[in-house]
Amino acid sequence: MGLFKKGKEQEVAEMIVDLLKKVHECIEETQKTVSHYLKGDLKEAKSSALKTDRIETETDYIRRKILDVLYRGAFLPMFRVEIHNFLEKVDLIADNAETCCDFFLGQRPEIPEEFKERFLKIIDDTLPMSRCLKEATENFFIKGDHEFIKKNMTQIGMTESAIDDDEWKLTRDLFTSELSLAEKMHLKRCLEKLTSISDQIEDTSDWLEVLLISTKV
Amino acid sequence: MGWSLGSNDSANIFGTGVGAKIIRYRTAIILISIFVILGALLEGEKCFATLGELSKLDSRLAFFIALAAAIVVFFFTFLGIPVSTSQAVVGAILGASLYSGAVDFSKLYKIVICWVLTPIGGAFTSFFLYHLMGKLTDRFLKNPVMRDIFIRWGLISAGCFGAYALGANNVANVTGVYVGSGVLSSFNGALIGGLSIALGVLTYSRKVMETVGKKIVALDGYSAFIAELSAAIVVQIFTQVGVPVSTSQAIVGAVAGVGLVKDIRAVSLRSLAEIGVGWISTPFSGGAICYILLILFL
Repeated sequence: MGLFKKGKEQEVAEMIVDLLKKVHECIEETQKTVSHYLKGDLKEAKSSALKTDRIETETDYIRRKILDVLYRGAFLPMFRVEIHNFLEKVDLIADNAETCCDFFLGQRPEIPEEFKERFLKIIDDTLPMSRCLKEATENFFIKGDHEFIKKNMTQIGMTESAIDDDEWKLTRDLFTSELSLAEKMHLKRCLEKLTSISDQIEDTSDWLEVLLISTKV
Repeated sequence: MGWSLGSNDSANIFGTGVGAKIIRYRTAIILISIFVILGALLEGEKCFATLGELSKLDSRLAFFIALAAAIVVFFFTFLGIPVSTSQAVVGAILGASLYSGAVDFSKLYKIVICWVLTPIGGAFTSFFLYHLMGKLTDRFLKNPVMRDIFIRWGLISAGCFGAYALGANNVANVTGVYVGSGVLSSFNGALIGGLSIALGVLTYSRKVMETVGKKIVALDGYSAFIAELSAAIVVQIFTQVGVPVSTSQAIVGAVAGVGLVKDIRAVSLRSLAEIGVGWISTPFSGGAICYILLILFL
């Protein structure tokens, strides 16, 4: 009788925590890829980009496994759908990280020296956001400390605002520089690829809030 | 009668759980059958007396009452109109009483008041339980896994309680007239009635359960649990009063109560109107058919 088997819910919760750990690893490797690239170390950048690609594949595998258990009856139906939506958002974080690495290694944008620090700062600031999301999700599924989760979500929101601000200023400085229009457009795209990761982390954090609300009466 | 009651009303008990894949259909029908029989044997006789008090019955009248009620239930179900076996049986008893000239309308007030109070009681109970248990679960069950386990087991426990209440309350609809006429003893009436309801549950409840389950499952798990528990409490209270009531109307009322809390249209006005129409049309149909049958065959 399915009812008395080891909890599918616990299994799903543990796999979601694993998934968030993998996604965080993915962002760490993306940060390394960008950092090596900006230092001109293409060999290391390639190695990190390959690791990002491998971890992204692993996250896909974990996500599919979670969905399989989820739709075999873990959690109640409405909550199941909300978890599914959350997982789709989490998956997009890893996808965006992989796309960002592909952009750097595939299109090799030429970033002027005076802008390098500011490009690096964006991915550096994204990393703690990912950590906050990982810890908040872990806490949600294991401990359920709502105050801690809300604190982390606020932190994610604030960091994202700061990154948006940096992005706006960097875009302005790029377009008022002496670079050619083609270079400006290329660097703008590069910037968008970097900020898409933090955007997606914030989106996912919003979905975690939906999960949090839906567990309340 | 018992068979059709079992096949229809089991959906009110575990429809949510089966629809949500919380419990397998096979497990659900076994649990319902066990608890229906338990309810019928332990408390079924409490409602026998009320039906017997409505009229002095003999074995011939008892047979035609059961036949008329069964025809009404079958016909309404065939037309897709929700029907209460309690109301069909009471109507048929009144029809037979009118025929034999031994009707006692003074006992009818208590029954009619209980019918009206069933959905209202369901709504009030679920409204208050929702708030009360909501505060407790929000405070002590913050972890979604623990919360899910609580709601899961809550739904199953409420389902077992609902099945017990169904057996205790509705067995009188099945064999009450035979007990009232002295054809069966209380124990035998409860046993045969309980077994026939269980037979309906075991052999022909899948379709109704899956259909109702998908309708009710639009509620979240916590709301479904509260609705099921409230309906079971209300039916059990009326068992103590000794009046057979409709489990379907109890659950519709309970779902409406949850809807009031969350401001969701969980129950349409049509469902509520159907209950109102049922209070009049079902007993009248039962009474009329029974009266006609008696004129034709006695």
